[in-house]
Amino acid sequence: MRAVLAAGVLLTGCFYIDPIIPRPRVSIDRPQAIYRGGSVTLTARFDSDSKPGQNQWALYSCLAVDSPPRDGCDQTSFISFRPDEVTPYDAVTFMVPLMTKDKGGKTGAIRVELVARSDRGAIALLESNNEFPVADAPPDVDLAAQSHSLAAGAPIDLVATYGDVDDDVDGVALTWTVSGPSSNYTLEDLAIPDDPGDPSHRKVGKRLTPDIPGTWAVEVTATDPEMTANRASRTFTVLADRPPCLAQWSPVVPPAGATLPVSARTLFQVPLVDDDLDAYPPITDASQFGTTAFAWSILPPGATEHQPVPGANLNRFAFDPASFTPGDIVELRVEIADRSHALPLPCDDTAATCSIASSASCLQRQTWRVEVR
Amino acid sequence: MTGARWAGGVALALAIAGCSGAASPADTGPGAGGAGNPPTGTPCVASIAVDPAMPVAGPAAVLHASAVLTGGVGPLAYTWHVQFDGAPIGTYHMSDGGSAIDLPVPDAGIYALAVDVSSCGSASAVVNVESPGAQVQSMRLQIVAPLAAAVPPAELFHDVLGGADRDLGVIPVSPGRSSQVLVLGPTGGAAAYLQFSPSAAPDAIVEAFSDASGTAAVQLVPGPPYSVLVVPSSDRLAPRRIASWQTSQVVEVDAGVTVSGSVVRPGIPGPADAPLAGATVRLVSDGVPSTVAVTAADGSFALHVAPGTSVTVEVTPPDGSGLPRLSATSNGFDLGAPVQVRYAANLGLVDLGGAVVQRTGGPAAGAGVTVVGSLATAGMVTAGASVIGSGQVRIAATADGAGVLPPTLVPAGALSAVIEVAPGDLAVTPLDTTGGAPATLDAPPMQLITTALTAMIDGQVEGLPGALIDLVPTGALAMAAAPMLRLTMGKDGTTGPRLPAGGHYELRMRDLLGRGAPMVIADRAITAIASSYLLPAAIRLQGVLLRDGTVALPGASVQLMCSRCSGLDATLPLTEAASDGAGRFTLAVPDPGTR
Repeated sequence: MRAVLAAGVLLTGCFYIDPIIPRPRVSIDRPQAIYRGGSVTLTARFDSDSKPGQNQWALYSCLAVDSPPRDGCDQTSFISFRPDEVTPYDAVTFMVPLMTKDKGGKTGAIRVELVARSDRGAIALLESNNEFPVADAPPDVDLAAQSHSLAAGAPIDLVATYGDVDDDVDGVALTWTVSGPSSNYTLEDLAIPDDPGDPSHRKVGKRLTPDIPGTWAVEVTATDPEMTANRASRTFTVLADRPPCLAQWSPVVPPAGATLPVSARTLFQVPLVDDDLDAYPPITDASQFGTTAFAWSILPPGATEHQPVPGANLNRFAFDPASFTPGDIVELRVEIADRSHALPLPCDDTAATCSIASSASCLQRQTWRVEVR
Repeated sequence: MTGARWAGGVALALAIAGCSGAASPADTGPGAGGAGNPPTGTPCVASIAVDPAMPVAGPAAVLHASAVLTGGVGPLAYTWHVQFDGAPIGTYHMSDGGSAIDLPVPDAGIYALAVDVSSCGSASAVVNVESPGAQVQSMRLQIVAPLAAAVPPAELFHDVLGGADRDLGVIPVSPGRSSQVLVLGPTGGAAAYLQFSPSAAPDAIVEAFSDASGTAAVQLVPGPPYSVLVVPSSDRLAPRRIASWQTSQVVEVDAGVTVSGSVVRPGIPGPADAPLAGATVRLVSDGVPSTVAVTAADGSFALHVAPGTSVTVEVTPPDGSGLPRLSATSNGFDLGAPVQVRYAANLGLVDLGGAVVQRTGGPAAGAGVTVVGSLATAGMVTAGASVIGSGQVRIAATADGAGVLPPTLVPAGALSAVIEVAPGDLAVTPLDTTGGAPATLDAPPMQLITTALTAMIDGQVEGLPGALIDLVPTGALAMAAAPMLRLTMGKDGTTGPRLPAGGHYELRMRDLLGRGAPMVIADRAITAIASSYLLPAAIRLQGVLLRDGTVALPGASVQLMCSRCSGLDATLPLTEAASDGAGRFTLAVPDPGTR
């Protein structure tokens, strides 16, 4: 009879027995490193059988790990956090305090009190260590670079900006290391003012001038009084000084077969030359830069070769058609050079343009075929 | 057993959870934002407002700057950065929770303000703080972009206040639009040279050539009408200028007015007129050149010109004639009437053949001699009206190995000889041929001229190493087509070039480092070049070139041009600089000063 009753119950499903649910367990993921002043995210991770409910975090600053709670840790938390969302947060992100609140010293550890509940309200068992050592924060250092070009002989301005959240910034030492294919580079000081709006950082400038092409690396190391160091580096691929390029000219150069009519004194000019070291207009903020050399020549009627105009060393040339007879065809030519690419150019005199650069659009010669009107 | 006990615990927990949905604000600590509580609503955008809008410097002057935020929520922290003259300054008072600052502005110049707003972003502003009593001067800037940028030149006029550096802010540069321009003659497309001059900025010229089909591709800024100079390649079509041309218009050319006439000279020995064959004749009508004609054996010519009011008739005599170039201008010329050009009967010709060119007593073998000069009266031009023509002498000869000139006819008159003893070795010597040819022409050696450029720097007169003087030939040197020269000051701020004895130059001085303002000294004999020049006080003009107002325009030339010049001087920049990778440029310009 009992058996029949039992079977009947089983068949109809009239009985309910609560499942046996183990107590939820929660652990806190251990961050790789915690520094004073650093940003840290602690994540509460429930065991796989439990669903997270609501957590309440309280974080305390301590002098050291294993400090007696009353003696070595602050009495009040620097973060007390309980989200009000129905869907609970399982992580807290915070900045590690530089100092304990009331223990009179730098933060050496963080103690975490986490009251975690599962979705059914069960208070979870905190499995892992709830104290995390806090290390000296390394100096923060950034290395910025600026240069007109990355050519051998061209200066590269470097600015290191550094600070230290838990040490006196003026106690941070900066060392510079340059590595490259030559030891004949120069590394000069560059005056960079600090930013009064950012008193926690200092700036130091250097001007690196690599002397030969190759891969150059600059590393700046900031070391604080606790000998904690941080580095920033930049790598530069320095090329050989490239030929200068005519970047603009006026008047317009006539197409093949056409002539430029000139009836009044006219300024022929090259307002822009692009070059690594000797651009025009010249780059004036570093002594390493120079300027383009210009040479003008003219092919008057009846002549077979362009004749240099002695002394014509500007980027412009005043052409006076009154020096010729109306109807004359005259060729006016400009050629440019820099410190690494001297004149004469290897092109034939009859070539209207000339390029010694890898890019054919980079011209060192331009010729105007002028008709005197 | 354990499981049963905890089953009851779950039920309890559920009940608590059911009535604990809200957390008090006190529960939310500093880490709340980092815990994934992002701001909601519209994105936060920061800007800076300043008061007064046009501040004037003074001992008690204060600039109030405030961060203006739109959108965003939450507690905000403000970090201000202030620079004056490129150097950070930290003396200011923060107010309104750090969202505003009161900045003392005792000195005029450029103040750069920036504010970083937590959870919002950054904003920056540049404020020009004026000098009390600043005087205003209009300045003309030309912007020439690299060819690769395909941006037509631009011209700007700015009223610059004196006494302090000034930031011009963003200067939008229009790339224009590629236009197809069609040049049509009577029989179809015409190859031509085209010069487009915007009405608002006549010197921002764009040039192009049309091909045989008459088509030209040109980058033009739409909007303002252009003045177009068109010079057809064909000598049967007259060049002309089209006013108020719009980019959609066809450029039409025709033969214009056909002008015929003749050129005669005094007979040799005279006095009867003789036709002058081989002379080149051209007209300039309201600034537009005609086609070019060469006189036939009977002295006759015919050419095409656009009708105009002011007409210049120019005759270039054939080489060896000894005659000057003749030029006459009149508003009364009738282009429908024959143009008669008659060289003056009293033009005496002198043969320089046999004269010896000397340098310090010895012959200057192979020296080139260009005889130059101006004659008030060279002849008469009649085209309805009769006008006396002036003369210009430009006659070249080369001495032989003994320094002896070949037969070379020149007009009688007070002339000059520009002698090139060797390439670049020039001398200017007076040549008065009214009494006949001289036996010798002396070419004094180049003269050492020492000069310096200085500027007031921190109350002291200091030399300017690296500063430049461009020497623009004037007078005889200019007529002989001597080139412009550039002198660069040495480390002591001086230079000592050798210059042609007897030469004159215009001196155009500038310092690329901006320690002084550019200065122009007109027409100086080289012996009158001072031992030093003090450049006037400069202020710094800075700005940012943005293509279409949005994208940096690097590598563009920014030139300060003369505002009241004409001819070549109007095209010579007073100073220039190139924009950097961010489109920024800085120019040192003359300080308009303060009252």
